[in-house]
Amino acid sequence: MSRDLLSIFQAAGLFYLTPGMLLMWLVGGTLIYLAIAKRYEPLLLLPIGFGILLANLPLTGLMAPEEGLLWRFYHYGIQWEIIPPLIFLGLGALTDFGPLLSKPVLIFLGAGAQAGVYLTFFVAHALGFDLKEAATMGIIGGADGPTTIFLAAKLAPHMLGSCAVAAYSYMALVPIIQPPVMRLLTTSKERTIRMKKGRKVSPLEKIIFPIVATLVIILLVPAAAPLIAMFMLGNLFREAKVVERLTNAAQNELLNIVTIFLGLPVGATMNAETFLQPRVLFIFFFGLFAFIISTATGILLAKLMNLARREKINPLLGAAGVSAVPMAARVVHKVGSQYDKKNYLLMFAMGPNVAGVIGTVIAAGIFLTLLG
Amino acid sequence: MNAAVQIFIAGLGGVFIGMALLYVAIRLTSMVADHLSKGGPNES
Repeated sequence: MSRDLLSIFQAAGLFYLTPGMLLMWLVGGTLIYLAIAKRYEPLLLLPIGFGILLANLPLTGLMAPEEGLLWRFYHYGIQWEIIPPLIFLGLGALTDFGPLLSKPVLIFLGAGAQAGVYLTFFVAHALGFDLKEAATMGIIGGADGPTTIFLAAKLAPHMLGSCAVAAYSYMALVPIIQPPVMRLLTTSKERTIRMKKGRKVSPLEKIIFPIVATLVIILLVPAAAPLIAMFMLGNLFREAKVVERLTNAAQNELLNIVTIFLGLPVGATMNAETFLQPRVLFIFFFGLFAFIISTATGILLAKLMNLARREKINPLLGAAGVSAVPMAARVVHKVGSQYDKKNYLLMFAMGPNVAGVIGTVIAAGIFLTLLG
Repeated sequence: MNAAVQIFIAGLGGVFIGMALLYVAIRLTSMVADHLSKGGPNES
């Protein structure tokens, strides 16, 4: 009897807790708090926070290779490239390319914002990170969670958890991070530029676009195929208007289910041994740096384009070139309306915003081609 | 460091080339769509 009791105690995780694990509980608890109390990207930060707690409980074996439950989610869902593309299927079904097709010139602002990705990559490498790690940190500047996870899983799996948390945290902080950069780089006069209404987009164009975009992007960057193919397929579901059941499933049930299976294993990769290192601080620093630079380069490109254009672009729209959809577009509208209450920038900002998603996927595809 | 410079240039250039091709594709798509719907350019 006493021997049984002793063996139960010996198998109890309580005695195997380490200070690092307790610290990780604090990290996981903070994310759960931010998700619930502050509503910071709750769909992702809540399961990630819980995944961190689970990964830092001793003797559970949840992340044990080949047999742990969370390891299976991670291996078959993320390492096998299943979940990020499925997320993109749902995002495609939710995306309206109308504002971009209406003013196609705004697509370049989505490219301009990717300069932050490559600049951060360059600086991180110069400061001692290897090429793959630097690329993984740079892509955070694209402000696209699934793409960050997709790239990190391939190039630097040991950084996946911290990069994902950094990406989603900064996406939640768009309304705090972007406005100071926008004000710093634009004049009051520029902020009040009113955009001319774009051309009317026919339903046929909206159907043709995802097909043509798939062909163009995949022919140029085949490594981007998993993400861009699913993104455009979801959009084709939406615009074809003949598969409403599939559209609804992609937008709702499927997206919700895969979000759960994305967040939990991402959080579970963050154990004390891999997370509590000085390098992780650099990941968060470079993630923020990338985000700020991406915002800045989008704005600066809009100003540069204005030098050659008769019909001026409100440079605030450049800040929407990061892919935090639709948060970045809302922030652009909010900042613009502070200087001209009747200046309605939201729909215009959605153009570079969805272009930013495409731009970040292309950037990730190029990294994979050159480094994968 | 040379590799980083090359990736920087190729990467950023690649993104802009991709977006430029998409821009052309959007323009062509609108022309084809206008033609198929037998309407002129639909500016508003």
